[in-house]
Amino acid sequence: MSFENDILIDNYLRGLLNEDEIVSFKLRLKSDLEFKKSFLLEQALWASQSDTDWSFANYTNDEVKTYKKLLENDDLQNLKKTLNRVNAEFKETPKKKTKLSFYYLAAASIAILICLSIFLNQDQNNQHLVNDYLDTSNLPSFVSRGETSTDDLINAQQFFENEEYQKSLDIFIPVIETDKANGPVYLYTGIAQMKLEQYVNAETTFNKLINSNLLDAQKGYWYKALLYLIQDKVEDSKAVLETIVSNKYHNHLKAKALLETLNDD
Amino acid sequence: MKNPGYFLKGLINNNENTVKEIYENSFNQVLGFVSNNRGQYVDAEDIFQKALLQLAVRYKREPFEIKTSFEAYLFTVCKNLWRRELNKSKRVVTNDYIIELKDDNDDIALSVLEQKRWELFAEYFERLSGNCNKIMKLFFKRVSYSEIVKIFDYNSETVARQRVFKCKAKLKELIISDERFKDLLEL
Repeated sequence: MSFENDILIDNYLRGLLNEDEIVSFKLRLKSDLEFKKSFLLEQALWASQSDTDWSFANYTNDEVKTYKKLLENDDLQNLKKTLNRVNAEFKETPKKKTKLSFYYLAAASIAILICLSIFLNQDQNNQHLVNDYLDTSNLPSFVSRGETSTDDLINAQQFFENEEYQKSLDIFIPVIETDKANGPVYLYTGIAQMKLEQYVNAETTFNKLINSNLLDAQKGYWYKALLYLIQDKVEDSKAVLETIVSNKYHNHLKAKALLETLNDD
Repeated sequence: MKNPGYFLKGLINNNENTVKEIYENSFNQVLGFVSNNRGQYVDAEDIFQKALLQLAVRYKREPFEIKTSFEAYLFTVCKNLWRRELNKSKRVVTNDYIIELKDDNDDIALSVLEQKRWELFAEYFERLSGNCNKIMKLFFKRVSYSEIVKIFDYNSETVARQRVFKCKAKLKELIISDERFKDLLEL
């Protein structure tokens, strides 16, 4: 590359050439391969080093095609789902702080209810306790996660909300087998199995969740405690509740309240 | 400080706890950068996810080493992705052969190559001598020759141009002779 050619490229990139010079510059690019190579590299350097530009790659590059194929594979698609989930939870975290007073109020309400129940000396069997504590309205929704593959999950969620638990399981169970990284699917599945009195299956589902490294793993303990309670396995339930309280796992305040109720019985 | 490999492996193994850790360590820093550079919260979310997918797909194709902390590296990738995003419209105007991008995967696949190219350039900038390194950084940041003359106390613009020419020729020679470069830019 000569000094003159270098200045010509420099002037083109700085926008210092007039219209005629630009036409002749472009013709030169078509006919002079060495000149074109030097220009393309310099253009890429300019774009990549400037704060106000970026050096874009061409889709025709074979490397790009390889990355595209890898991105379409199931494992990276599953990572994408995990990122969406963690992102959604991360976004909610500060909101939880602002709603602290609401939770205190909720915890206080639970405490008052418990006191009232003791005061009125009402017999409250375990089924009632589970009904009181099993709140499915807070389960994560599959709607609006920005993925096309969640249509089935949205349908399954709909069945679940309409208490058509078997229909929801028909969709959730095959999903669990292929996508082991989806915490909410475990929760829906386990609760649906519990509602259908498939207690052994439900316990297996919650154990899988507990033993996973998913964010929802802690929630598995809470539902497992309720699962034991509904089967009148009070001691087993208390043991799980104690684990939740001592580790400050998900719903540890509720677990403490429930544990106190069970100990008073 | 955890080894960068811990985070990269966590990503390709789809470890939700590792992803959470990355969010806790780095998201707010990226949000701050994007917010200060004409972006919104949703832009930061998008960039952050694309950056993590970019790292994952790259590591999956061929494990690579991060020489800084994982957080510093991720922040650089996010900054470049945001720069890419801000300049997308310019690309539509200047390229003769725009291919309509179908989904995020196209964008991420392209960005891997672009990031690798950016890193290769950065590596060779650092290999230049001290004076050449400084002059090249100013040149590619589009600082005028008259300012370069003042900064380096050269006698004239001609001297500055000759110095730029020599340093640039050296830089280009180093880059072109690197085997990795052949896959990164079609010449």
